[in-house]
Amino acid sequence: MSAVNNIRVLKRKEEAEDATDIALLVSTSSKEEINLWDKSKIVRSLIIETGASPELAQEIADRVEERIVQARMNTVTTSIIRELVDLELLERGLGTMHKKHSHLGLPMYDVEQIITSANKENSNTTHNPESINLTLAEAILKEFALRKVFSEDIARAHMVGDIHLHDLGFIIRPYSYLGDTVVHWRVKGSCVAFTTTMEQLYHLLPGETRPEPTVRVKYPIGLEILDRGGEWTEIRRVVKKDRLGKQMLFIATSDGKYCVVTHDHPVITGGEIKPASLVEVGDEVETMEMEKGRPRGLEELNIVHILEANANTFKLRFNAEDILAARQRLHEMVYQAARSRREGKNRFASAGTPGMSSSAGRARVIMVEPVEVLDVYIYDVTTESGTLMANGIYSHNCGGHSLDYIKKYGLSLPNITSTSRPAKHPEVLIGHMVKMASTLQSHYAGAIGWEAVNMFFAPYLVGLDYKRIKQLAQMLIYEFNQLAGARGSQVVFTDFNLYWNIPRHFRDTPAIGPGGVYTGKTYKDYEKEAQTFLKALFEVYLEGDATGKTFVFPKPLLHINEDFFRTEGHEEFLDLACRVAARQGITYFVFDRGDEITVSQCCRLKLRLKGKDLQEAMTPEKMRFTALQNITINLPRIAYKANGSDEVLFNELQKAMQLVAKAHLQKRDFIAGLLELGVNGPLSLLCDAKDGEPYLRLDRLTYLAGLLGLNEMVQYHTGMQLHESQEALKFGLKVVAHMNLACKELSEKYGINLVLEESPAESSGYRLAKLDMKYYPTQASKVLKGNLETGEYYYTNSVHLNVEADIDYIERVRKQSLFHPLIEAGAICHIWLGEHEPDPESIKNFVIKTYRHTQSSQIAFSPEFTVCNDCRRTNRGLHESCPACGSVNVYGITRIVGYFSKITTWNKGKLGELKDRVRTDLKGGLKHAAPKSLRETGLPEVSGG
Amino acid sequence: MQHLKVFVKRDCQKCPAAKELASRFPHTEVYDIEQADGLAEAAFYSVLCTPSIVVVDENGAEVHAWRCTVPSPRELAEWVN
Repeated sequence: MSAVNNIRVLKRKEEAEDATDIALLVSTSSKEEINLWDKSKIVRSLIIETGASPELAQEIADRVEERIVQARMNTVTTSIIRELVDLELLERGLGTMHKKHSHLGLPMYDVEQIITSANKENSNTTHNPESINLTLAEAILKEFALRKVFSEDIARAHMVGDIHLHDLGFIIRPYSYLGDTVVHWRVKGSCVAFTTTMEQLYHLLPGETRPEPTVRVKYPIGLEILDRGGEWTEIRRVVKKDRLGKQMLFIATSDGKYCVVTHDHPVITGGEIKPASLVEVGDEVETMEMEKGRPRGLEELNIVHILEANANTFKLRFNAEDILAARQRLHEMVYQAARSRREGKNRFASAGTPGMSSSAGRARVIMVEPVEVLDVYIYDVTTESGTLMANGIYSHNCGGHSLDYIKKYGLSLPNITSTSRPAKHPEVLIGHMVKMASTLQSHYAGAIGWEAVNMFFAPYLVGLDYKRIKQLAQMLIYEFNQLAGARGSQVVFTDFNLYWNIPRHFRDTPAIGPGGVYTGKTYKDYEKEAQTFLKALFEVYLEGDATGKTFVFPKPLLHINEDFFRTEGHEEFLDLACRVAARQGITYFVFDRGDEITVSQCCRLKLRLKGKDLQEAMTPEKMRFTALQNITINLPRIAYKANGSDEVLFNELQKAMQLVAKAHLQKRDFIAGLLELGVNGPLSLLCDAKDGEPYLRLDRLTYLAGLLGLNEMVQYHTGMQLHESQEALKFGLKVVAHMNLACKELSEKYGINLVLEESPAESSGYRLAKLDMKYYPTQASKVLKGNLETGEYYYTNSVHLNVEADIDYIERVRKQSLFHPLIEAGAICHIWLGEHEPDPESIKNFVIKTYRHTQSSQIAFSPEFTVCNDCRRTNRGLHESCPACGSVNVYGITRIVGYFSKITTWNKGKLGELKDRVRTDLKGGLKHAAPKSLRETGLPEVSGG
Repeated sequence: MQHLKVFVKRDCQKCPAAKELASRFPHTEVYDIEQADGLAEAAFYSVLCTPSIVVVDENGAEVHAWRCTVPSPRELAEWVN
């Protein structure tokens, strides 16, 4: 054994037990230490990491030692030992153990590449120390995700390119009350209050919607619930969910109150909010006595037992249309109950003092115990204030983030040490918004969208002159745009939804003004201010930055609907929006054909803003749209596998959709696991219970299935591209229809909301094309677009027509738009302008035609620009040198997918696409090929950009 | 020669009436929009709801359409001939 005793082991200091230690050690210069050989360390690590039996671990350790001795190594590193152990595991067929034991890391060469050359996966990322950190971390996390989060079949499908798993995403943590929790509510302003259980309240309400198979929601109108300090707060919605075996906790207080909540329900103790599972005996809670003191014109009716006894009699059914009748029915019920109580016949009516006032008190938690309950459903009430009294205990419930959320609650985030009160001044509000966006961006992979920005700002703008309003518009745009500097790497991808007319669903929404206070008016009353602000925003967009260059973010999404055309001043404003589109290209025209779609009660295929969203518009602070993950299906690959057979093609498509759903479920489980770590876990922001609900809500989560390369799929399968024949187009529609129906079927099966999305596919379009050239070269080379020789090849984005197709733009938009109703999570038509600056009038005509005569969800016009680093001028078109000063120190800008970016940051596939794009000046279908310089000599080089 | 394309689905109250009406005319095709073929055809003619009836010419181009409603027999007859 002397040979063994002489072996020195070089060990990286990785014995640290937490991430902080590991991170700190990485940056020290002396990372290695020398130890003497100790076989028992292998045994220990195998037992801890893989769960191997001590005997097996010992056997493997013996074998590894033997190999090292045989190899006559005097010095070994721990990574070599790990690999020798891995080899042993593999030789014994212990794949699962090997997977657990494996080492995640990067080869030296890869790290060097990441440091020295820019990562072009996303063109909105710049190359700097922070982005290097990001790329390195992502490389490890991607590997981790593929090995640990997803099952082998899904990881394999991603690796070989059947599907593409997009970046990490979102989170949710459901929580709720048990149905027998008692609440007090009344018709708004009424002098009669009811006491019922949550379950009874739910069943009294009309109009159930079912956003997910396990979630039912009702939206009462004009009802209030008792809140803290005897105040009343409006009920926004009542939710009934399948409990799905969730652990419930029984919490009792020293003054005899109790409630049963889910283990993750946020509870307010001693001024802080924590999950029920963290509530301890002795914690202080605020409670309320319901039946103390004299009434002040308020009569309480406890109808819990009446309802129990007469479940059917009292089942009220009403909807928005007959709310009056419903109220009358409620009152009838009230009087009936009141009479019977006066007559002393009803032993169930509230005993004791007939009135109700409330007195707030403090009590201590005396018991927190897990309980087994038989209830199948759990309930949740969302209120205007975000809180309510449940069983006499002050509780939080739902909230959300949006501009109204910040306006109402101020800024209080787990990653920011100070807390701000609601903003009183518009500048402060902008500050809050920017910080919120930046915090959210660090938790989400995708865009952060803000609803009706100009409208929500309006109450802050009353009485301000136009100059000041323009200044605020400027500040808002610049702050968002330049946030990337602060984050050091990637721009905060922001969408501003903007409206000229106050959208119908916000007209009667109570407006929140400075200081987070309701102004007593509705947003409809602020239409003028909202319009002035919108105008100011577009003027800033028109001017561009200090050098006249277009802003890239925040993206202005202008909503066009029937009401838009009915609202005074729309023509003038549309002119401005089209001038911005013509000159800077930044306007996105979003079409809400609400009237047409909502007419279709029987079976609508699509709603841009779904029923539940519209109903939630009364509490805009809760409105937001989030997705867990996007997984893109490589459609051309399916055509290659099918080799001309329809049957195989649709079978493979179904299989791919199934795989997508499975991957989503695995991701959800992983994220749920992280959330279980609660407020001390990595996702504390997302389970932050400041206002009672996580930022992401399970019942609103969307699971995306992306499409890529429909054109090439159809081309390979039918021999024609989408634009080449009606049959090809119809076959394309059949594929997408099939996917749409598969989404519905899988959603039903797994209780998720799976919908199709046009994947932006900025990098996946290139990645999947490359993988197809590797595994299916004969087939792929027949249909791939771009240049195979230079490696600048790609698949056509989503369901788009070939960018090179010789087809009039109106016709292109019309054909592409046929797919839009089937792609519920979003679709866009791009109009590539190139160096042309069309007359704003032509843009306007195009926009109106698209709105009136197609099903298009969204269009954007994309010009190209060359920016000179020397004279700082921005010129139209892509040039090798600055047309103004002749300098070659220039860079090009245009839309890569849904946003503008520097062309030098584009990946090869997108560069190939750029060369192929057919540009238009919108004049009678004239088409202009890519600039000569682009086609023949490549793209302008950036120097110093 | 003109064709009628009728778009229907299950649990759609007015669909049987639309189907019955269209069946009085020759060259009528019925599409169930809960099937991939039917949904694709519906998307092609921008049909977003049922019942819908589209009159097309021999090339499949739309001549007239009633979306989300059922026309009267007379109205339909006017377009089919």
